[in-house]
Amino acid sequence: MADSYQVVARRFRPQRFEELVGQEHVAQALQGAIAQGRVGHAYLFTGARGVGKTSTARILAKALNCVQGPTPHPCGKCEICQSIARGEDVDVLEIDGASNRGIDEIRQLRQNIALRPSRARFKIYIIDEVHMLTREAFNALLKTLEEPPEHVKFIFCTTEPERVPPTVLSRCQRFDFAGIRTPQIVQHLAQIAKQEQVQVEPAALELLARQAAGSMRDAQSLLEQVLALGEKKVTLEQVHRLLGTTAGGEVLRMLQYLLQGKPKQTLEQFATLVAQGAEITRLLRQLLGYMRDVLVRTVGGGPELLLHALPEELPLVDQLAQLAGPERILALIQIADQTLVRVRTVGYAQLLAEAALVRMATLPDLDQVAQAIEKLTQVPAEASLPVARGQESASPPPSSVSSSPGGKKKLPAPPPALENAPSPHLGSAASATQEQDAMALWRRVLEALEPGELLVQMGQGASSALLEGKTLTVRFPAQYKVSQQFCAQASNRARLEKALQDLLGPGATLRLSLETSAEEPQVTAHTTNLQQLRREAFRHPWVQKAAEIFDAVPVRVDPPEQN
Amino acid sequence: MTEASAPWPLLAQDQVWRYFAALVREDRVPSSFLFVGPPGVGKWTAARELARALLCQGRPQRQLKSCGVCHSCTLLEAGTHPDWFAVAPPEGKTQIPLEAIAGARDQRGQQGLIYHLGLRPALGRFKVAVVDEADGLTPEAANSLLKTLEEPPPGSVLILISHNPDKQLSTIRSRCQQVNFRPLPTEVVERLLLQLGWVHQTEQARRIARFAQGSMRQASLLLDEFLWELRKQVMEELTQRRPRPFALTQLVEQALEGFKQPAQRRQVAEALLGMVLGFYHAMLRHRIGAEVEADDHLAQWLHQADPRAWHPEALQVCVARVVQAQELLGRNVQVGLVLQSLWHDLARQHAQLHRPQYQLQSVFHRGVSTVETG
Repeated sequence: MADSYQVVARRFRPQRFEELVGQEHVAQALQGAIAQGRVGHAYLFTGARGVGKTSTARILAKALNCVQGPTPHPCGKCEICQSIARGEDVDVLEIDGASNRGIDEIRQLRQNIALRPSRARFKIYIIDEVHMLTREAFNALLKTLEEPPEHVKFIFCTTEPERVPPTVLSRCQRFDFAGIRTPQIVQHLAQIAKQEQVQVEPAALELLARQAAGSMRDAQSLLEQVLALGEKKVTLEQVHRLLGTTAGGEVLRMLQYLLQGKPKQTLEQFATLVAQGAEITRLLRQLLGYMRDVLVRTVGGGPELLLHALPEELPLVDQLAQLAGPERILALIQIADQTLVRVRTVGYAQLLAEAALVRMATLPDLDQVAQAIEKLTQVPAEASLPVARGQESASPPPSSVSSSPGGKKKLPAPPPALENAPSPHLGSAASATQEQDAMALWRRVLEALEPGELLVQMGQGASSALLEGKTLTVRFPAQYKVSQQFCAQASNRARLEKALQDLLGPGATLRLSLETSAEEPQVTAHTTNLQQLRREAFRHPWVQKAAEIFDAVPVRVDPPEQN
Repeated sequence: MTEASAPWPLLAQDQVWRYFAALVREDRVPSSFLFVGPPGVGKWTAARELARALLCQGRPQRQLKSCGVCHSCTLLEAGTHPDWFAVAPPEGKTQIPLEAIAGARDQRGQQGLIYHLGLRPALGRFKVAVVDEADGLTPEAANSLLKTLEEPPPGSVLILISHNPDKQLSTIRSRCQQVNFRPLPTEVVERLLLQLGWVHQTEQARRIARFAQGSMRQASLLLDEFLWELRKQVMEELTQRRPRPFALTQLVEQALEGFKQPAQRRQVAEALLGMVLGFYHAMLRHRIGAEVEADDHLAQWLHQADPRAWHPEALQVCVARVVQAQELLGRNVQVGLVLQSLWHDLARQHAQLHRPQYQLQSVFHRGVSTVETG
């Protein structure tokens, strides 16, 4: 039936090497091989869906079998070229590896392989979806694949090369097909639209191309849907409606409400968009995309790194990046991502999405929390620490007294703020700075070693350091005895000292000592002494101050997290 | 030219129907479709209606209609149309084997869906094949469809029906025209319930529609009055200041006693949990001052509850916990076990709400850490 409609992806299948989009490296290599008469007997084409594997296989078959060939430029006019393009040539056998996957089919193939081609130069086997062959089938192919008769060429295509056994891989010349870049897809789509005599807004094409995520056929399938609208002019808005996506500006407005902490407006915007036909999971995915772009901007990424925002949306994205820091965006992304997974498994899309939006909008501003913590650290100096850790050890990490079970990982307890805060029990601010300098020196010593080395990790266990003249004294907490001993081993010690001398000049020495642990048994056996730790934590001035500020009662105490 | 309006079971999916109409009008009916949407929103019906129109011999040129009287329409109605082929998971199974698509081992390519699709249409221009529950295609079966999807035989139309496009191979998605089906708006579910004669009172239809998640399949589960009674009992216990997990367990166990089949018990449990979620949802909206549409009971529970106690964070924890239970039910974990542990956790969470220190906890405590869902 000649009048049956063929989709765009089929009608616009590339027919010559020059028409391949985004696979110039493959085309050049193959053309070169043909021109020099160095065509291999087995090729493996791999790559994502819809990037041109099967098309290239057919073009290669044409190039080899063309009446004027073998030629890098098959004529496309001769009977052979045309029948190959239709996929009906007698000498080019296109086999569906997924339906003919068993050993029996391969045995049959081997039987026929000895027969010479009926009219063309080569007998070419194109096995598509080759990853679906069974193990036995692959093995049955091995001998043939290694030394096929001269008139036989194999071309395998697959999206999953990792499922092809290494013995097969090693017998093939492998070409990896790259994903196609968005501008190239846009250009190609524009050409198709022109030939189909439909005007499509450039922004609409851009949207289609982005949705396709590197696959030309995905893009063509989407374009197909657009063309099916039967309009002569297609706008961005129509494409949005078709894809169930929402105009970027609207999603960005929702994100703005989120970041401004306005749950009610967020929900209203959400309801409006859903009523306009946005699909909830797609909307969440779009939101996620924009959050990703805002994140990129908050950490100072260039505009070229944006994946979702269109160029004209950049100012809006930048505006949003002003509203929140990366910490907060990351937290939001995590919530949105979790929600998507849940919606996928249990449904209840609207409920879960709304719950997540409210949660995102009411998520305490992490910057403010950080400020609150900073305020807490300004506890009056006369308050002395109940937990004494040596005479001049570093201030205890806030996590040891935090009454925030589980939440503390996300608390952006900013190390600089804490380090700069005067530790209440330290004699003077000066000694604190000195100690910090000494610790910084120790860190630089460790940085001079191989990163990730065991010695470095052990050295990081140090809790405090002191620099007197050219002698650096490094102290380890009692429970880090192993680390201290490891660093003190002759060879390790020599390396550390060498690194120190590189920094301070010759004559510098290193001392490694252990903190005395007599008065704090709970540190070594903190699991058994939780009760005591609890009591002490509750008495801690920070905790008391926190309880006062928040009008709260401490509930739980977790043992300090190491590192 | 006026567009044919959608046949009435497809009321809510008229954007889909308009798309089909455009395809026929422009004569660019593609050969492969992927219908995507939650269960019970009309995907199968749409496939059936599209096939009816495409196959109909008496329809006007380029219009999406079926006459209902021609040979083709009669055959389709009787289920014996030679150009209609449907595949679904075998009775009691969830997977579609390779044999259904590509034919049995010794008959490969001589039977099955691909073979049938390759035959010339017997009556008209088209041949339609449908794979229902296509998420159940085994990897082998799905892969064997790829070549056919890419270069389909002339006149063939293949429709895959999927609840979750993420479960389809990217190679399949890329070859198909994806058609998205939305959950039905609540009003439509309400109207359909009445039109189908499943319920007779508007009030009842509205109540069911609100919890049906836009799915007629879900709505059909909610027809049973007993479920609503159970919801009332469960929610009354759950909205106490100190809910008793044991009482909840007992309540639900008794209610489930009537159902012997595990699948039925699971369905009831899922529907019940959906109702519990509905309460949290309403509370969440109530709490932030958004509009809530509540029936009598729900309004009463919202009224009784202390809104200050229900911090959005706390609600999130409860929602996450119920969702986790839903996931477990979906994975065939024993119903009694799932519910018992759920009541226990919810009761504890609810009891905590009214303790003053929760305020501090909720500031720092970002919800999910106590209830980690896989």
